[in-house]
Amino acid sequence: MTEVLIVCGVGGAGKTTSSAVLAIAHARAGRRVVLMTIDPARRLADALGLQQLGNTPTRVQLDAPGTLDALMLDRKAAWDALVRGQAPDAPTAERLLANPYYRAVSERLSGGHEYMAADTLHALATSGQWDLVVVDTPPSRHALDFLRAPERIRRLLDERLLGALLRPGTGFVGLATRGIADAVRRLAGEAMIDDLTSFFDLVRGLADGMRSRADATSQLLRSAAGRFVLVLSARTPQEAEIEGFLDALQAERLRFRGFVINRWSVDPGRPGPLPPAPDARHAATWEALGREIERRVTHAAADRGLADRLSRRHQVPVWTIPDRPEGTADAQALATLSAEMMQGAPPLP
Amino acid sequence: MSAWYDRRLVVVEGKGGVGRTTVTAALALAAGERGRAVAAMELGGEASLAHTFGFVAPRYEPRRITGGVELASLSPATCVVDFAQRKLHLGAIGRWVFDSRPMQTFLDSIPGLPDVLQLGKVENRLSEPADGELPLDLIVLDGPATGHGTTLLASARSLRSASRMGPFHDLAAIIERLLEDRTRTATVLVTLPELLPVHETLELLEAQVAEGRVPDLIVVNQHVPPLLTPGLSPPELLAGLADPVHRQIAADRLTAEARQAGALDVLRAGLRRLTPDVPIALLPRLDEPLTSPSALYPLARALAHALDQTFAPPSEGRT
Repeated sequence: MTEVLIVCGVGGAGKTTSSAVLAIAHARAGRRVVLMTIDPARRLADALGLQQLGNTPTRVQLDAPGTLDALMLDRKAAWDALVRGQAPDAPTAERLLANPYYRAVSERLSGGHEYMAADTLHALATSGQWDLVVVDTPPSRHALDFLRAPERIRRLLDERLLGALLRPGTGFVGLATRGIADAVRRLAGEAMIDDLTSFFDLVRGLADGMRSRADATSQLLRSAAGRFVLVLSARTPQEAEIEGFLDALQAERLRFRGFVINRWSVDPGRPGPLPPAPDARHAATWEALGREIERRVTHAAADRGLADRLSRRHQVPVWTIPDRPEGTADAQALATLSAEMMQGAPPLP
Repeated sequence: MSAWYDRRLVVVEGKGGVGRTTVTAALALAAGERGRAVAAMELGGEASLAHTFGFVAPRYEPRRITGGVELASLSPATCVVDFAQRKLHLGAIGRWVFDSRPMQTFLDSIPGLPDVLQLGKVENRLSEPADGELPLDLIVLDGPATGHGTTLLASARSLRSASRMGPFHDLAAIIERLLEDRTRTATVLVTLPELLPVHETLELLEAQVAEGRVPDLIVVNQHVPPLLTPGLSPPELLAGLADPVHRQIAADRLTAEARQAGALDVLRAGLRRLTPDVPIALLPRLDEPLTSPSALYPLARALAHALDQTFAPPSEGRT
């Protein structure tokens, strides 16, 4: 059975780097891993030493007993591929691709990234080519957006909801619906209503397939194969965000496997007091170094405290990815971070 | 070109985690210190800016921070009711219509609409403040995270072409003109001196160049100032440190500075290729995290100083 690891986190926490480090750690443990990220494009390709990263999995050069493939989802291309692959016939597909509303949806409807990620995840997990799919969830302000967005798209495709607004007169039309439909028409204008109506006519042939795959993906995530981790950036803990995320996972009966703390301050050891500058001309350097030493000691203590607090309060493992001054510029650096993350750490999520 | 604080709107953009909210807050305070009536605003019902100023929860109604600076958090839900009441004169029934689930689903299903409705409120606040609202010289907007490579301008254009006519179309066109007009609107792009954020910033810039609207300024946040005083070399520094822990910390810092310099080189090379005239301002890294709003003031002054040095200096006069 292919397992699925969903890497969640708020924007800027370092989800992409953390996903790559986790995927490499699994490949080093001998598994066949595929890592999926959503555009923007180049950052993961750069870090993995790939010239190009596209919609199909590409092998990453690694010195490991397992293997790592990576792909980057281009949302527009993924939506178009879905339409071409699922439309009942070619003319329907072409008409849909040319619909102004479809073009706007595929390019920038909020939630569109997350929906396509879930759809592609299903394809990767059922192909049988990999032991594990690691998903770097799309950039978002909230860790939960990945879970909620597919539901929004499903609601959009549910014609019973919008049908009454677009075609007042068909179905159950009370006075209330008529009032809402009237407001919608006056705000959006007739042209947009026409495009929307023809969009829903065209998409009807695809909607069943899209809904059944979305159901299958959500079952996969709820099965024993699905597990979630939350990436946090050290020193910007967001207690409310964490609690909200864990509550929602529990409500959805999803399996939370632990926290990943990125940019973890490595303990510098115990520095003695810094002697004064040997040369008064360089006093400013010594002052700045004194502040740097204090900063490092404070950060290391704060990060240790954060990890202890999280594992005590939530009774889950915490993995830490050290903040190395060299950074994460290539696959070798990421592999080194993977090895360091696993030193004395709990088994991989 | 007028100085940034003499325009009407400053949009602060950048990917998540780069410090966009901090820069927004600092710019608003800096404009307030120059005597402007200014509002710092955030979108999507977020509370980041509210938290930065020490409030627990976001609020739609403006609240006063200090002097001429106020704070507000907009959300699509509040702005759509505002818009519909102005355009359709729905009166009391308006709120009920917009709280209904079919209406929510409908509004959710139009790409770009949430951004445009909220900017509509921003524009309205600037051009015709409602009863009880103070007139504003300037709004500093904490823009949405640009993680998807999208911009507010792209949202407006997309909605305008998708709606073709009607009130949404007209509003999108107004917003598009406001964002394109450099005499009224300045855009500030925030990034970090690290390779991945720099690459993402350059990708966003490439998209903006294609759109025909480049930022007025790039702010590199959390810049680490050089440890070494002039005339001091790394080996000399390390040789002067007896404690191995001190030596390691100093060596790590120099490595991090070299990495930062590499990232800044990539940024500058990219800027030369894409938008040679856009200046860069470096905002120093703080040794302590921002724990109280008063800690914002030194940052606001540092940013205002950097802006005056690099970004449309007042000596060029107002347009």
